[in-house]
Amino acid sequence: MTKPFLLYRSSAGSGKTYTLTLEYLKLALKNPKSGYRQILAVTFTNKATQEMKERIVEVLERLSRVVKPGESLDAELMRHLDLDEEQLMGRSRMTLLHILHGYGHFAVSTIDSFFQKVIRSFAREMDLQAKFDVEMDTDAVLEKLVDRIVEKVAEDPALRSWLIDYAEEQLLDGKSWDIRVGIKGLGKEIFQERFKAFRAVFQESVGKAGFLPELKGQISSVRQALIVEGKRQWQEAEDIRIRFGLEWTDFKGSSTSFAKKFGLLGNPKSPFPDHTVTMHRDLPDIANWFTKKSPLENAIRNAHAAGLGELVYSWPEKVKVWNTYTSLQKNLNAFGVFRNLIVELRDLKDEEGILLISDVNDFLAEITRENEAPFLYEKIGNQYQHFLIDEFQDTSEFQWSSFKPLLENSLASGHTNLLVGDVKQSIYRWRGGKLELLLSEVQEQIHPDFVEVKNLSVNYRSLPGIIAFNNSVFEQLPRLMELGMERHYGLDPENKLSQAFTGVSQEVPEFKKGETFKGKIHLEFAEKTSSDKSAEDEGEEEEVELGALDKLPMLVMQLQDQGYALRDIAFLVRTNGQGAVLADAFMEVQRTQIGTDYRFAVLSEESLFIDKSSAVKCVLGFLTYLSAPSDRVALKTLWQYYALVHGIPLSHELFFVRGLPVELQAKEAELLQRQASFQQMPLLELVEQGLTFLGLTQKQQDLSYVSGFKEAVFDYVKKNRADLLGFLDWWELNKKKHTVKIPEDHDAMRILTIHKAKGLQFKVVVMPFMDWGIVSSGLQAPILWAPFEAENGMQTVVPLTHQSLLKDSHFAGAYNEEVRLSYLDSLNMLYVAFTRAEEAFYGFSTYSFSKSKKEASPTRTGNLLYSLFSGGFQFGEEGSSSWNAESLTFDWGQWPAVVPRDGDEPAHAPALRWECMDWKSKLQTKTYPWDFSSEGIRAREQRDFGVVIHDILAAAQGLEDALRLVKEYTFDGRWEADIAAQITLKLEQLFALPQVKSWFDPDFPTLTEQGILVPGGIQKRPDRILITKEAALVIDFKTGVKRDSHVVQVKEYMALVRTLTKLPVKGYLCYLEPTEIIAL
Amino acid sequence: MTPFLKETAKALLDSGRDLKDIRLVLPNRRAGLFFTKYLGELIDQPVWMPEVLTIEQLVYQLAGNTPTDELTLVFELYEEYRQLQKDPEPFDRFFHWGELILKDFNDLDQFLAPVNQVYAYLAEIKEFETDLSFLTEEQRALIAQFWKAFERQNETEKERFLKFWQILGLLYQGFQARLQANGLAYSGQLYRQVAENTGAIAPPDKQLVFVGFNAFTLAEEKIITHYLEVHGASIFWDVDRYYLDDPLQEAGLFFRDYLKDPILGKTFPEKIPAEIKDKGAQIHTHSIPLKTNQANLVGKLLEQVGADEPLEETVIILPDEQLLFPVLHQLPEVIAKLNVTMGYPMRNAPIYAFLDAVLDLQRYAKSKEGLVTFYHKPVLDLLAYSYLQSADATWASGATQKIQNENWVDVPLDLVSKENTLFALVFQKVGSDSLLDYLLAIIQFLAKELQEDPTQKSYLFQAFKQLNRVKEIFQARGTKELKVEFLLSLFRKLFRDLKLPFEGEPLQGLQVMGVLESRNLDFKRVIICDVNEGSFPPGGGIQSMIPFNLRKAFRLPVQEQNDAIYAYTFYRLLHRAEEVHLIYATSGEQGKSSEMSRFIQQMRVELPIAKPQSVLVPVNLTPNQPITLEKTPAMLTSLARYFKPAGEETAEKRFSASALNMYLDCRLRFYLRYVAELKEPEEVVTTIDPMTFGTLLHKGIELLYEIPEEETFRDIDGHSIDRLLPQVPAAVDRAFRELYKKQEGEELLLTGQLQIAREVLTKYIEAILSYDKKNGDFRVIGLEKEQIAHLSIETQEGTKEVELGGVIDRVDIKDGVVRLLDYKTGKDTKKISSLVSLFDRDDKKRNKAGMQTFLYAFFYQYQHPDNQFPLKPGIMNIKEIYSEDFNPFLQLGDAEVTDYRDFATGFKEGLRGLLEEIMDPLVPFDQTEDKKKCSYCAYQELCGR
Ligand code: SF4
Repeated sequence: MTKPFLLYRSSAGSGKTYTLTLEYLKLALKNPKSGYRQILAVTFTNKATQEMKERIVEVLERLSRVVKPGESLDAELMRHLDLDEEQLMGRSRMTLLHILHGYGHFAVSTIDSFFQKVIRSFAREMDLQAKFDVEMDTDAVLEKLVDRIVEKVAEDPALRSWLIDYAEEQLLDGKSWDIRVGIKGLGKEIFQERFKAFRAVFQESVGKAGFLPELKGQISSVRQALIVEGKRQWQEAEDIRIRFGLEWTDFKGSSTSFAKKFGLLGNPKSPFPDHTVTMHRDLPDIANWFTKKSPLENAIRNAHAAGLGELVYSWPEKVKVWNTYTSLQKNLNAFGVFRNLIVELRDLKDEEGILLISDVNDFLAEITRENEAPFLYEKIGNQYQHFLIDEFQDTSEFQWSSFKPLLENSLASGHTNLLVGDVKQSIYRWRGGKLELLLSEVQEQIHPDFVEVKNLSVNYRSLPGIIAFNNSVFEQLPRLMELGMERHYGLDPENKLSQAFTGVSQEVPEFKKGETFKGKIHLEFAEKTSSDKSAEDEGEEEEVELGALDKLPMLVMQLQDQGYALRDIAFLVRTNGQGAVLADAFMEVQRTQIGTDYRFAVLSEESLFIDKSSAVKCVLGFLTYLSAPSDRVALKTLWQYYALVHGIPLSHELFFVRGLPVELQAKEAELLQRQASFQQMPLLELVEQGLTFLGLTQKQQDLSYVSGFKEAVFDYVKKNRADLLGFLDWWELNKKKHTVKIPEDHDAMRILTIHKAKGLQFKVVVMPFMDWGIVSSGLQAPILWAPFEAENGMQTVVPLTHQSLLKDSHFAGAYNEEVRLSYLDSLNMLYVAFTRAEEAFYGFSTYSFSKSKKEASPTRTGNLLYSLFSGGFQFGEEGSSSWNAESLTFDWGQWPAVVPRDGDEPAHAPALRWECMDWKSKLQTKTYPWDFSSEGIRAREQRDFGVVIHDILAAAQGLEDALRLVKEYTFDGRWEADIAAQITLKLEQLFALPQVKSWFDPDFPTLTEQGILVPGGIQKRPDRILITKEAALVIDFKTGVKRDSHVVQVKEYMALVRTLTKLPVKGYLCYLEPTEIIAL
Repeated sequence: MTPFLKETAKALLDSGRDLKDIRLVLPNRRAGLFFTKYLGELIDQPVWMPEVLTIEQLVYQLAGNTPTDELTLVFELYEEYRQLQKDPEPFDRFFHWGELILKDFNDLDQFLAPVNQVYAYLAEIKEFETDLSFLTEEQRALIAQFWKAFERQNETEKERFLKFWQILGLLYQGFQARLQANGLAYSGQLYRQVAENTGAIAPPDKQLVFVGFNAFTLAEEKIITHYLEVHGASIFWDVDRYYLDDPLQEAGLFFRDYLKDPILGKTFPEKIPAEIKDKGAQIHTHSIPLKTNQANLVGKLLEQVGADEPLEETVIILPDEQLLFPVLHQLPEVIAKLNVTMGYPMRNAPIYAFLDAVLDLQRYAKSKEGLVTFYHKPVLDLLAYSYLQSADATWASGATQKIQNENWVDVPLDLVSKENTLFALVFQKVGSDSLLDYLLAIIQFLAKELQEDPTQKSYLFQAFKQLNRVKEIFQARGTKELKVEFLLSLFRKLFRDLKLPFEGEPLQGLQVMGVLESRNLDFKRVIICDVNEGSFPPGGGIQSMIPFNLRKAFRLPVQEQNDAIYAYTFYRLLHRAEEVHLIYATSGEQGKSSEMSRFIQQMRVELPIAKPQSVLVPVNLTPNQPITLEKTPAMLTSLARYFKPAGEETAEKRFSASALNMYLDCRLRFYLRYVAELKEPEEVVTTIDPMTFGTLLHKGIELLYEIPEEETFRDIDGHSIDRLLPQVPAAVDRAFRELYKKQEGEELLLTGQLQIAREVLTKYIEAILSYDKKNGDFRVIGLEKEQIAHLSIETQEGTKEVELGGVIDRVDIKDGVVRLLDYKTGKDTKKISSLVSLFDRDDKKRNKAGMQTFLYAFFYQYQHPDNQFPLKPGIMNIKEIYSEDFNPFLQLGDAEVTDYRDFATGFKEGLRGLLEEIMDPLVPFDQTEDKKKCSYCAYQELCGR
């Protein structure tokens, strides 16, 4: 009997989707009618959701046509459900049809959308607004918050003095006095779980007014006291030294003696000297204070006894306190506005009716904690019995705590649940992903009777050589890294990496074992030149190592010779910046290599940005110019791209502020002439007209980009106040979030970040820059939240920037944990990157030796990899090391003979229309009396009731009916109550006339509503037709001046009525305002 | 193809009944129009038209009342709610809850549910037996399930839910009474009233014919069944075997029920058509990358419409109304007429944005001693709007400029208002009681201006009607205290979901409509966009305060019914169409992936239809070319202005330190700024860029150390600084005043950001003064003085004198040394690695400030050739000035620059080299290689970096 809670540990390429699909089908096929309704499959991204759905439908569709017992999936399903082929086919079809017709219950969804659904059904209980939009863009929210806070400076003196201090501090650091940047930097944390986890402590402390200033005072007084103490110690040390007639150089070590450190005491930047490792080891033994035969031994001994010893031994503890308080300072000023940020955020959310995406998890955790699962299902209207959760390693603490009660509920009723994930591929820690859950915590939290762990260990993705290579690399690397951090950071690695990577080895599936081509692996190392190193020491942003760039074109040509299509090749990088450099380099190659048969087309995330397109830049220049016609730069920007798109050469005239090339003169004149009309257009139309005006639709260049831009405007208008200025501001902030969509089969090499590559696979993977610093520092350094208790007993939580200062402080624990996790992050990144390759893997890396020892410092991935490969690395049965110490390369594998592949791309004829038409004149609309047509406006202004009454009488069956209509129109807002009263009065007066009254006599059949239809569809509608026994009456109401045409019209009606009724007909013309009845 | 309505018309004609004795009841008004049109095509002589009305009209006539508008209803509901709820939330917060509750009440009535039982707390199973004995076993089970689950909740949660739940029950009762007392009603209420009293319905004078219905509410069903049973009414169904026979097909859900009904069942024809299967329409599905690209495809498809083909036979269905304008823009010329019938979201209309901004303006309007001012942000927003722009573009931009240049934080009325124009109308401060009149006046004004634009006109009319209603409601209730914040919030909530109804008439030309508008209509060619999950059928589910199982138990519609309605709407469009195009986008909101509709998936398995064709948008990209400009004669002429003509005192132009630094940073940037003369655009008001910050700083110090007129120097000692220190804040304020051209006595209002800047500046200047004080007496001999110098260079045309110039922040003499001091607020340092490095563009640490101060020393020496004092260039940088051992003088290598004159030759050498390159006709202006330089460049967009 299998246990109900399955925990799948799936390594790279191990058929995770297959497993999920299989497990899903096992559950769904049990009960074709409703089985699927009880399963909730949770995926990480929208795209994954869709793929999962497609996959399930696809498999069901295939199974309903043909079952192949040879396929493992089919066989497993038949076995599990105890069905034969025929039955499985029938079941599958039934299930498929039920899913397709109950599609709303086909619950494959992202965590977020499931959570949102729950929250919506608890909105009232959670005290949310009835309608809210989920806001994804927390950056934009933060932007607004910070602006609002800064504007409050005038009214809030505490805030004001806080911010001014902050601004000053910034200036002293050589930064801009504009504090908004700094506040935003730290402010992001208010949306993060790592901060929210401490919210209670925060509310109790910082949440209270006056707490932080007090803490600030406390910090500064502790630090001040330490400086004073340092100075005092210095004085004391000097006194002792002089008392015993010593110089600091008399101590062991003479001119480099530890004793010189006494001179450093009391330095305001660091009042107590650090103990070096040797000091720490040797100083406790007084014998190490003097050289063996020192004549001053006694003096030194005495000085030691007189207090020097005690002083020295007191330093470590003092340093620790100093570091603790110093590290608190760094973020304190930005932290100071957290309280305001949080209060302001609450107001903003309320005002704009938004729910932040980052709040979703909190709310849900609260809902599932407070409510029993059955009631929750009652509220959302669906009862889930099985949960299948994918990518579990990226699940956050809050998300898990939301799910847990639901899972437990399901398990308690004996239902199957399933988690799938791979700790080794957890690279979303920065977004809150907590791999410890999968690693151990879930197992600790759920009763072991339920849990069954399964490892998916066959790799279906890669060739045997690649698998064997990765097996070896990732068996050795974790240990190597652990040793490294132990050595370099002096901390206990706690086996974290080894534990995460136990059982990393994957098997080769049977069917692949016989293949002759086993894969190709090639790694190259280069020693870093010293200039590269300097940048890194300063903790500035890392420069891209350009060494590898030269080698890539050759490699790409080789791969093409080998028969690979460009789309088979992927370059994996760590940052978008690296990607951009790479893309530029290839574009350059492509420019210079024109004429050869080789191609170098690349697609990078960067190159897909919509604003890369000249056509888009041209429209943007156009829009910017229209928003501020005095902006000459915008105007020139517009013309510069116009020239580029239309092949007009660049020239001085083009840029010169008073110049304009002849080719453009007519165009600019037209622009000036149409400027006002452009400025009045709604945004969407303006963009459309702009594209046409600029000849971009005719040129049909950059169509994807232009479409992408239009789409962005479209989305913007949907959600925002649609004005041009607002849009331009928004675009400035958001342009980097918009990329064009590329069809899967587009033949170009992909450049993508490792993060984006997760879940994808490529025939050839190239990692051009394998070397990076493992623990981020400087601007990239992460923020750690740590509880803190001050000397005076104040307790709170504080934001710390990860820096080596922390190592020797009360925050050492947090510091070390961050180091361990950073190592794990890097290891995981390497794992993800290395395992994307199906057939070939290429890597390029630099490494460096530390200055003193000839040793590669284990702080960089490049160095670690270098140590690994240069240290006799071997893998597979082959057993021979392929390291070439000469060329610093590792090379393995034989290419097979080239088999030409079909590279023909399917031809798609794009059948789309791009030109824009002015449709306004062609649109037909209905009119009403007193509407905003010129006639309507006139009537309204002149209080012309005639048209209104006419309209009402034409539709009414009598006075009562007419008054009902007056009411209806009033409710519609066409006019105010006093107008309605006047109309009512007029109607009543009119109906008081006996003749009019008789026209509405309910005893006679009327045909008012009907009117007469003549062949061809033209309608003739006299306002009233009354049929009595002996005659028919035709009445038409008119407004305005009398016209002969009125008479003609009524006569025509009379004739028609006569034909239809065969009765004598009487006709009346009734003029309203003033009332006059004319019998015809 | 014969449309259903035409068949119906024919059947009625053929029945030989007198049309004038027929009352046709249809689901919507539009179906009526088409019916008449078809009827006209069938007759050969004039006829009486039958009476045509919608089911609502029929019911309201029977009830003898019309439903009140929603806003009034929600307001009434709130009034009642306030009686029941302790500490009720304000109305604007309640508004959406109110809508939701109202919708529930409507449902309850439409489906004739026993309201008391619905809102009861049924804690005990026993109660089900007694209270709900009229329900079926199954219904009772659902109710029991709900309350059982509820029982397991903890007490606080129970209470939370129940508190509101029980209020709802009371609210329903109270609300009915309240409405009755005021002669008001809501739609469901009228339906229930009629349906529960069918006996009271008078025999109709005409024969009723119901046409084209699908999903009745229970009330409708009762009323119609009554007519069928008692008054011999008849009914025409628009149904197809395809979905009727297959019990899984949700489109047939309701029909299958009706077929089983003893009365309705008999009304179905003997032979139900199977057109979807038999007719074999061409059904194409297209997948396309982006939502807006669908418009491009629609345009293309329509290009293929033959010239002689009637346009009326083609329909474009837009499940997402927002696609309307993109589609309209892309229509081909062959479309001569068109007819749009759908709602367009009001919040996307320009007038919404404008009114929103107007309310924002009022929100921050102030009036002090009769002087009205507005906060600058909404003012600037408004001035940029098309309405004000078109009213008077010059005035609008003039005002904008003035506000920006003079940094008006609170803009006085006079600055923006202009008599007898829209400006005067918009820019006034109105009291809370006349806010709505104010908005209405603006709308009416605009309506007059924009008569020519049919869409604008419709937007305005809709906005007008809505606000008119709001005004009515508030007036009627004497709610005088209408706060702007409240109104703004209400305005946003109201307009958020408001649709502007486009109503095309007469029925000519291409038909464009929403999904529901297409009911009952048939077209030869059908193009449906957004056939995506979430659009067609729409997602979102049913919003209700009544939990799912209770809704189900009391037979209120749940998602299943909703889906069935949309499925029917979809499949019905296939009944008679000959050519169908289903278009879906593969990406949805914000670029997220988007799924094809379930309908396509169903058809692929069941009909089947071909695989979707994917339409590609080419992904080519115009390569961005590097910009390199060879020097042309025109450019050289422009550069020649920097040469001092022989015999003249000065040249037309002179190079500043920043020009030279800019050239070293990027030749193209230098070109654009100084040769093409493109000024970098000005900054906006709320913040200060580093340059302005510097300007303020200089000004502040200049004001303090000012050399009296007629004097050439001023001695400063410790005492004078003691006197100056308290004046610093005032000096900073004056600097601000001068920058923003504020008159004496005019109030200086600063944004929060600027207030901080002011404080920081004050402290910085105080630090400078303290430094000066500490270092002893000195004599100021020049402040912010322009200095000019010339340097001869070799050009192709021989030796020329280039003119250079700049303003030195401060020149003073101290202890026999001339100090040339520059104040810096950035990261600048005093370290210079070598003289050559100052001119080395590849040196990443090239010291620009060093270059500048050296240049100043050069100027000074040039101006004072007989100067005998050592010249010491120095930088006072904010970063270091606070430190105890601050020393402002430049460090070259490891030594302090004690006298410029020691380096003059070397420096001039470097300078000359630089100037010769600038003037060299063979060196083009090109982009910098170091892209970091671009991040602060104003020409980034132009340059493509
Ligand atoms: S964007 Fe860069 S390359 Fe272009 S002008 Fe500015 S600094 Fe030069």
